[in-house]
Amino acid sequence: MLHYLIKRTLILLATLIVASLVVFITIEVVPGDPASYMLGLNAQEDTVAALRAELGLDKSRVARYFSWVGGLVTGDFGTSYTYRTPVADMIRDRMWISLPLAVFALLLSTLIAFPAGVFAASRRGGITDTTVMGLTQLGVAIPNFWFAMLLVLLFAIKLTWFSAGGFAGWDAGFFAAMKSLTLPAIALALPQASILTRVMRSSLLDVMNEDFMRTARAKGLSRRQALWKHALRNAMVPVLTIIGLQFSFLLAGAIIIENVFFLPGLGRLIFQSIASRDLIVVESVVMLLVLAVVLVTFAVDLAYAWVDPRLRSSR
Amino acid sequence: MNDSLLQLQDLNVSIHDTPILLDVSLQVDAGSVLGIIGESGSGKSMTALSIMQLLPHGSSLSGQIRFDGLQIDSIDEEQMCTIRGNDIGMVFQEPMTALNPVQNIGTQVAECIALHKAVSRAESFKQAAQVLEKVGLPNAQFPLTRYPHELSGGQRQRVVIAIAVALEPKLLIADEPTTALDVTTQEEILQLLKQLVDESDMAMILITHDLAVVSEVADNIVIMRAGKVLDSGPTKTIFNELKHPYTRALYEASSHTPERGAEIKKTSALVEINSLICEYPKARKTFFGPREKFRAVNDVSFKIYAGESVGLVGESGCGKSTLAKALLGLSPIQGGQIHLHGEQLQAGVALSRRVRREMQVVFQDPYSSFNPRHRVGRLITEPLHVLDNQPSSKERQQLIESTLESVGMSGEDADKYIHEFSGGQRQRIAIARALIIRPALIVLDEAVSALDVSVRAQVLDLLAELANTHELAYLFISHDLSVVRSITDRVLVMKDGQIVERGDTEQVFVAPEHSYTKKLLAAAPQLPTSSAQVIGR
Amino acid sequence: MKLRSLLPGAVLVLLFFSSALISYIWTPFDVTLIDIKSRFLAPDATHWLGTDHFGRDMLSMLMVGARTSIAVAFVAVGIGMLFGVPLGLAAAAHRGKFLDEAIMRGNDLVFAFPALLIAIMITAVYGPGALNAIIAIGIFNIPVFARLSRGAALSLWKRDFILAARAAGKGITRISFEHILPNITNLLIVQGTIQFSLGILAEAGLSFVGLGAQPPIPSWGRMLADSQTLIYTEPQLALFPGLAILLTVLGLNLLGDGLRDWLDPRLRRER
Repeated sequence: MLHYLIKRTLILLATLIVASLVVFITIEVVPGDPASYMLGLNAQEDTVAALRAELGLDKSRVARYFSWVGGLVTGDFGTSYTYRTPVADMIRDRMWISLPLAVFALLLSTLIAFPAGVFAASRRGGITDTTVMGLTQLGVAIPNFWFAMLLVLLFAIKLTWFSAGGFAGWDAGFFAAMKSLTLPAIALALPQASILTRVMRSSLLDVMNEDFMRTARAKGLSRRQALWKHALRNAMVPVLTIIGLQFSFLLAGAIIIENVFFLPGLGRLIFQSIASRDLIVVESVVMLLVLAVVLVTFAVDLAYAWVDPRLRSSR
Repeated sequence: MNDSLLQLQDLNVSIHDTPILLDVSLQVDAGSVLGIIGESGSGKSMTALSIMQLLPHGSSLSGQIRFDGLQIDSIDEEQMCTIRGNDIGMVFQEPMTALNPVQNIGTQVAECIALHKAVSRAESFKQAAQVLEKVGLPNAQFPLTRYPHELSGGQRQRVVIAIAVALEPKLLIADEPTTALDVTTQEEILQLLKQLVDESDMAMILITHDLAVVSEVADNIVIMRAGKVLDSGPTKTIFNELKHPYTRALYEASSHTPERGAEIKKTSALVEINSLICEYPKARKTFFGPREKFRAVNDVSFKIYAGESVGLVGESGCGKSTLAKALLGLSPIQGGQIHLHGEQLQAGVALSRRVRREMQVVFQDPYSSFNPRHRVGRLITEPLHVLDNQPSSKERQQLIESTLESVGMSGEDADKYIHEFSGGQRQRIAIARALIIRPALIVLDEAVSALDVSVRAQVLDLLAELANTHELAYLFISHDLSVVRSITDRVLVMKDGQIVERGDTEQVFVAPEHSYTKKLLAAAPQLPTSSAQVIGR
Repeated sequence: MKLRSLLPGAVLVLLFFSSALISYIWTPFDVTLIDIKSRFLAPDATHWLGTDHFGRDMLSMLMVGARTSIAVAFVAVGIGMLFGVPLGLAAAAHRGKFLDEAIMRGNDLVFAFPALLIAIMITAVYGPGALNAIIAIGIFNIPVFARLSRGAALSLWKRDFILAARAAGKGITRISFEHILPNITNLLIVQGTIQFSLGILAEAGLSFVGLGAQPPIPSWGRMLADSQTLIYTEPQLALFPGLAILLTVLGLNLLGDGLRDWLDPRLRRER
């Protein structure tokens, strides 16, 4: 177990280091100088130089990489080129919309997919199975931002149950805030729930063909008991893999969905920053999202070990 | 007649309208052992699944199954669940996959007890411990918290047996319970089953393809083929009389000895292996420091003379397959030398074409030995590319035809795909592939182990004939002692990476010297030698 | 039995592919023509699907938009296969060696960057465009195909016919192409259609947020983005582009499912 844990941690750190290099180098090759871009065409040369010094742009690339990474580790993300405010502050406010949105959507999708997948698998070939599978076919194919627009049309414009966009803010209370995240979370969750349902079902069906399921039946367990007691946990490995992958899709999807609902999250921040060439913000937000994805992958790896004792002991 | 514990009357089963069982009738008396014998596709496993009412989806069943006064074929699923595990226990062929990999063994045995008895959780675990003790897994060594992957194949089979007998059922169905196990383990498991039957009044159905295994254990025998019962009766009578032609054919195939040519003169060593060492790195236990190594082949030396047939016997994990792969240049060697025609092969360097031409191989599994996307003609000509002068397409065609004919196939088979052939035919094609470049040595790695006895006899005959006509040497690797005895001149016995005994085959089999060889020979189930003397149970 | 998904899938895919092809020669109306007078027309006999806020014919826009979506997704899948499959085969052939480990860790690294993040980074540097979307989706496809082919190849490497080929003296590269590749083709075709459909979804998403094809090139994602601001007054504008994406993706997924069942010899034998 310890060996497995150490190996996973080392992989996590290595991935983060290489990812930070990739992000830094990609953004660094940008032609042009942020300082002169910020000050406009008519800026004095010494003003530009002063700003370059202030932003740390006069240092070597290697030095800047290390000060950037060092800042990331200590929570100092640098200063926004455009707003001249600490990037960390800008990110902190917005993160508390994007992250809850992604988590909310992940919860929703898991809560829909588990029962649906088990249900379909246990009634394989029946009408419920066919219906669930048909619906998931649609769910997989629907673009989530279009689905979001349809939700707005129905629930905000026609029924006026929800507001069409905007964020109430956490100050307005938990439920008010969650309410403004509900439609976006549903839009994000449904396509992912469809995928997860399909994976859950097929993984369960695979396990149900295994020899040990026959042993379980020979003990006198009914089909359903065998499914719950023996198949479910064995079917979890592929399901966990998909849940892990989905988190990164959900984060990315959240960036797009925020646009539909005018949520002031990381997605909006990133698009504004691209428009104003505020690259230090782009750099930091991308790195933050990568960190989130890598951490979730790590958590999934640990969950494997929890599900499968073979990983705990042999490796 | 109605007193018997289990009675099958005119049982018919079909799956998706394909008939699987045809009018099967048999009976098992309380406390007795019935052996069901049949080759693959005979319907023997389906008979067992019918009794358990666990037939695959899309099956339909007609006829009667009476068990202990109950009409099993017509009771509902809920009631059947109370019978399974409680009154009828079942043991399966493949112990490696028959247990839930993510549950410990205690939980799996206790579950069965808790399911049928109103006992507390703690009590069910206590009883599970007792059952495991009874099947030879004492708690001190095998605590309930062990997971299946921490046990060997034989130990796992004991856990499966523990689950099956935990509630002292009236009937135990064992479907090929020892087929996947080594000879010595097979013997232990058979002894355990015998002992369990003797100690209680449990009846048993033992399903197997192996006549010898059944003859040691069963009171009565049923012989099945293609879904039908062909012959049945008390074990003694069946073996004494061999009345039914199929029974006789099976019996003869099981003890078949192919006719082999005159003994060859050991003039020059074809292959000479000196102090060969092969090692594998073990899975890492600690993160730092060097990996531990496992020595699969440890200081092995032997020779094979031209035209000679040498047997290599041993149980799984003894290193015999690694040795074969090293010889063929498929796995690296860590020490020692291999000489071919007196020339040393370079360790770690791909074998030259000239060497490749001399050695070919036939593997065990006729199903995974061929690329399913190529036609037979292309499959068997694969080795031709080691020739320096590639044959013209006409020569190639003739070669394919003559080679296929020499293994008992026809030239027309060259245009077919491999899935169109049976297991025995595939093994013939595998031999054709090895033969096509006229090698001096063919390594046969468990080449007949996956075949039914009757097919196996034919393939052995073919091998003996080819050795005579082509002056072939064989390295015949097998765990099956009787087959090795029938086809080899000399034999090497391997254990834990070393050769513990060697000598002329008859010599070793009649008067073994090493204790391990003796143990192996004692464990191998014996077919009743003459049909007149069967020692019943 | 499962073949029922093959036919509807093939029909849908054919419909959108052919309309994309036809749009090169002919569209009902010129999509570059802006006619403010006839904007927001409801569907009728001349404009089957109505017109947009610039008075452009929706059907013609959708036909040309199909071109963009399909081209982007197709090239992206091509990139994924072209790089991913050889990497996966090489990793499998050198199982457990340094090369395998390096390729798999590289895969993990790319998986940490959802396609959208790659697109964001490229856009930040080079500005938006369709090429941007192709590269971003393409890069994300590489590890998908690498993993798939490695996994499938690994199980083939354990088979005896590979050992037999090695015993016949064939080298690793030759075996990979002669024996492994033909045996994973079906799998690649099926995964290819799935990645194709995901590519269409991803392209639409990128265009929707302005990271994909730029005006005046019509694309389904952009059409939806344009309709979003008009959703209160002209909700019908959001309908057709969304349906187009949905049906194309659905068609590709059905086709993929159908192909998998049809190509799987195990399922075929059962019938």
